Amino acid sequence: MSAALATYGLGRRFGSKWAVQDCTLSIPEGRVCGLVGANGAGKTTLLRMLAGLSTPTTGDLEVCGRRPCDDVAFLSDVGFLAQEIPLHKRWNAEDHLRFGAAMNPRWDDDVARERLTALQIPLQQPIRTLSGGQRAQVALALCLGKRPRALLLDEPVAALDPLARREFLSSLATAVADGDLTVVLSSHLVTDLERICDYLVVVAASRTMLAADIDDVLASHRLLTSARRDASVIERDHVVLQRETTQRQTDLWVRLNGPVHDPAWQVNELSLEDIVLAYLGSQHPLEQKQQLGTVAS
Amino acid sequence: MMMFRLAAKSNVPPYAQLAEQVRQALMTGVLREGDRLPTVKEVVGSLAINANTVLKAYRELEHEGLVEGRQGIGTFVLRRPDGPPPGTHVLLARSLATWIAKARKAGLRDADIESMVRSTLTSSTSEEATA
Amino acid sequence: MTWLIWRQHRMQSAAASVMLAAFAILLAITGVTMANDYHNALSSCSQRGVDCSGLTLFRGDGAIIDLVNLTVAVPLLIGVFWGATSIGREYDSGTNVLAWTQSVSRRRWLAAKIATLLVTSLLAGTALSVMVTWWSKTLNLYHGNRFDPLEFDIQGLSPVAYTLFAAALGLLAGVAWRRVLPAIATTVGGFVAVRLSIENWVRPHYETAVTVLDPTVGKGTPNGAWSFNTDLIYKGQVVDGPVRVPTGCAGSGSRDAMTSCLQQHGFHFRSTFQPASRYWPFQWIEAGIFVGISAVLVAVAVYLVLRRDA
Repeated sequence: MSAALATYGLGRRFGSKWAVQDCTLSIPEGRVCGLVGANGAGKTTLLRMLAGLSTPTTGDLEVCGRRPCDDVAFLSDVGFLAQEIPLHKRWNAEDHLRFGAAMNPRWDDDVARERLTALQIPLQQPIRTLSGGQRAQVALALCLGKRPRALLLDEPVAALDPLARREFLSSLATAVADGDLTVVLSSHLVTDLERICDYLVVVAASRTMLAADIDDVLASHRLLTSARRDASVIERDHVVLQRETTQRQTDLWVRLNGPVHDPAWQVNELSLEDIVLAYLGSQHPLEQKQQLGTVAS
Repeated sequence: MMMFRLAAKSNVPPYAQLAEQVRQALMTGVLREGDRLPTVKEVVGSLAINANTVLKAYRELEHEGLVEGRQGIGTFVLRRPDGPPPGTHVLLARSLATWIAKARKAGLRDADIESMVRSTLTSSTSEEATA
Repeated sequence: MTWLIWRQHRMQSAAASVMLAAFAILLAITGVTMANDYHNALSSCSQRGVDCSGLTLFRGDGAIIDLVNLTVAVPLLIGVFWGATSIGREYDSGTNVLAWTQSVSRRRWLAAKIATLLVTSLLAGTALSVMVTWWSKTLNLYHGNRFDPLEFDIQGLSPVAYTLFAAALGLLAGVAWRRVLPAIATTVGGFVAVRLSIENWVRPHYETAVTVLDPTVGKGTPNGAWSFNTDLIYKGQVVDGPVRVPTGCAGSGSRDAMTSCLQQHGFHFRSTFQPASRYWPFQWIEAGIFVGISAVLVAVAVYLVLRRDA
């Protein structure tokens, strides 16, 4: 399966501070990828570079087979929903649909309009009178009407109440189920992401800590518990993300490279949230398995 | 038409939960032979989950021979899983309710009841194994 | 893109058209009236054979004259309401990201925005100038003061050039600050500073002023010229302060007789001015300066929008 989004040693610096460093990712087509990390970890910067809104300082990237650039071919393939959900406040939803039609050659008015009518969003009322959840749905409809191949969403549900949040993710999930769409959405909460995503990228302090299929992540990470003992064999054979030692007990959060042979270790499964927390607190950025190469233009 | 539910903090992966709910529905008669399962899109829309989760669940059921996917039309029930006829569940549930009422009246808390059920299950399984 | 431009500008086009139309009607009526009054007064005066240079007219027209003079502020208003909001408001509300993540390139969006701003500013400035210049014809004849600072600013090419400048300044301010309020403040401050500086310190020097000793008797500074100062010279020195009229001249009849009498007593007039013939060259030079500044401002704005992150 080819990669819908790929980065090679991508970095972005603002003044002396690096917002994103050394990011090498390959997100396969058709995935719903969750991008998780604390505020300020570099999620927004990464998404903006993928959308072509921000120019990288170092490294390279490719979205839908193209390097981000200022032309119709790239722009019509990629959709972006910014965190503040920018819309023209004095316009109504109908104006936004006309806007979409005027600005996008591949505009599918039925798709966008049906979404809004199904959600009973009034098309003639000014946007500023709609609720946060309704605005998010209008913005999503605008993105989907464009028929992109990749859709990037920056913390789309952060400001929504639980019901609006569920409805938004529902809408997004059905759009993906229709086929032909790769989604990357960021959040600082794992719980938002784990239902709808099947691929996970964890960033912390501008570095990428993890990038893999969620099924693989759940299958390969374990909590090893034992009466206090030496962990050097485990450390040699696997990747220890975090450890906690008390007088009586040793706990290790581990990414396994194979089975654990020592029966003294009790092997427990970990929830996705626990795994992410272990990465956020660890010192192991994702190893660079791919060569830094040039991207075909 | 059956409704799916996902337990938020369960250790059971979502696709397994969905598959199990289909099996339960078949056992209790909510779903019958020839019924169409909800489409992937319907499930995804109502639960806000990934489409692959639903596909995986349906594929597992297909492997077990319980359902059959027909391209472009949907996924249809082939047969019930092996097990007691639908009525049995209702009868057993009723006698269970009576027993629980008795146990509570005798002073057992729900947690005691649960651990009693679990230990009895375990011991009876090992008895059957040795029998 | 066309739809977007129209949708974003329809209110302001309507408002501007209405205001210009109302102003045009007002000027049309008063202008025709003033022209008639002037020509009637002139013909009746020359019929009576009196010196017609002392006509007193247009006393009651103070309000309309003030209103026309106030149009000197219109370029700045356009810079604030059209220029500073053009792109500044898009950055402020984030709708620039909305526009740049559709399928239209940033370059094309920017070109359309800037073209719309410059064309509408040009049209508004030209319409205003045509109306005010036409209306002022009578007053120009009557007072001969179109080269004076305020009148120079509101007639001819000046309003057009100032409007373009204000729009370009507002555009750049909005792009630089990415917020509307600071952009407006910068536009006002910058516009006033540049206009006043050029008007006071640069315009007088577009060509070297002409200095004439004892200009044609009876004329003083030639009509229609931009007078800088007129000095009274006695024995080679500029006369400050009050002067005692020599006794021999006290009873002179007309102004011309008084002037020649003073000259015979050693008093001379020295006039420094820009002659009326230089009016249009000065208009072109000033317009050229402001258009040149506008071009630079627009170029910087383009660079910032395309090179900076969204």
